[in-house]
Amino acid sequence: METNTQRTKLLLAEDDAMLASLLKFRLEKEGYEVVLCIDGKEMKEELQRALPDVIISDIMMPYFSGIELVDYVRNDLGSKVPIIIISSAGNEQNVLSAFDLGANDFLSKPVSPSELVVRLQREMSKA
Amino acid sequence: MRPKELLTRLSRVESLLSEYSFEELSTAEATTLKKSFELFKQQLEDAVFGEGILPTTSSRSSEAVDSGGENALNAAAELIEGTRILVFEDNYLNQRLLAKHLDKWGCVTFMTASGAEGMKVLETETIDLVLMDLRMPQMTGFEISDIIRGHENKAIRQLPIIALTADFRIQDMDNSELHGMNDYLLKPYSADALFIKILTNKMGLKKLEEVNEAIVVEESQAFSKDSTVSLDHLYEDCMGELDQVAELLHLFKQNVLEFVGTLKFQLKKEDFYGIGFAVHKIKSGLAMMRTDRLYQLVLQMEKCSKEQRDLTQLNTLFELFITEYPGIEHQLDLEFEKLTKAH
Repeated sequence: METNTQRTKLLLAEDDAMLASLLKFRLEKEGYEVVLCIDGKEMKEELQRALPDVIISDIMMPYFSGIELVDYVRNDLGSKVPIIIISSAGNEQNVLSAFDLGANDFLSKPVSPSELVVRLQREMSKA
Repeated sequence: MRPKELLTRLSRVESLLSEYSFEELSTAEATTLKKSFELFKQQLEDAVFGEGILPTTSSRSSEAVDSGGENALNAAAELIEGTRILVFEDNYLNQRLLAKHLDKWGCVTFMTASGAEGMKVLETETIDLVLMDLRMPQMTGFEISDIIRGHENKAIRQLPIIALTADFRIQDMDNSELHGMNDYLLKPYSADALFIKILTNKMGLKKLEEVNEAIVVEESQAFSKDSTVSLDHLYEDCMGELDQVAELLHLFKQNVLEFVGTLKFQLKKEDFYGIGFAVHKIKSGLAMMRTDRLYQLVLQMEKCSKEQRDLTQLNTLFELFITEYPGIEHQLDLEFEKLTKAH
């Protein structure tokens, strides 16, 4: 991948080890820098340290849900950083709440890494 | 009724009822029935076991048993009150006996000793349920049942039919041998047994064992549809890097191991919330591996844990999961070997 994605920093919050491993692998292949958090607490700490260029977060996570995350980023931190939500089937109501609070996009499990990459590029081109 | 006698009856009703699953009731019109049924079951339990504690029969005041017991029986009678029942029975004494019970419960009874006459009643009156003596003159109960099941009117065709017989061989009969009859009651039967049969058939309750068997059959059918496992999509997702596929496979096995351990523990603890969470967590991995059979099982487990249904069903599903899993894991290993050789 070319240089313009090389410096793009992604914050990936996913508590499922398999999905986290696959997405991190693929996103790094695409040239992104990936910071992986395995629960909401870690993610919040990471956000306080530095804001990433894009956030990708599962909706059901221990300690701090994806919904709370969107609320925290938009309202507490006042940031417009793009947020892509990952949700499992049957969680439509949560996805709507996430959109209401300002999430930019969402993907349903099982997540296709290729689809995530395309959506990511789209969010980046808007920014 | 004396308290002791009342308690014996209540316990009998309790144990007869415990064989049924009323969770299966889902239609809108069943909701009201379900509510009164739950109330009845509650009152029954209170009357039989006392509230919360388990006192011995002698230590309980007879008034408490009396009022609780009468309440339960009244609530029970209300459940079948107004049920319109057609009885095919040629023995006069049996007719009288049945009519006595049915009247007491507030049922509307139509009595007939002839198949032809009975069919006329079915066509002119609204009937909710049929009690069928199998040994009738002219036409047997089986023959009458065939006519009912083949009737052009759907409401008549689908009527619940309960066979009344002294022939114990009926216990081993399957649906075709029963000529489409839904249930049977062996003579001599108690009034309580008759009551339970009318109640459960009117409500369309299924026996617990049938419910569990149905799940097993449903599952094994689902299994036979798709029994192949493939890692091709993962290989593609990992852009052809076998190390990454191996890593995912390893994580998958770990997740399943953890899931099985957790669930065993939580099923024992009857922790529905914990079960629901564990089941939700494993879903993602199963979906990634596209192990549809296991995924479907886990979906059903999720549904059960959400509805806090009886653990028997959850245990059955879990048993199926651990029976199925080793085969799937083996297939995944074989698939991985194939991938390694091919690339």
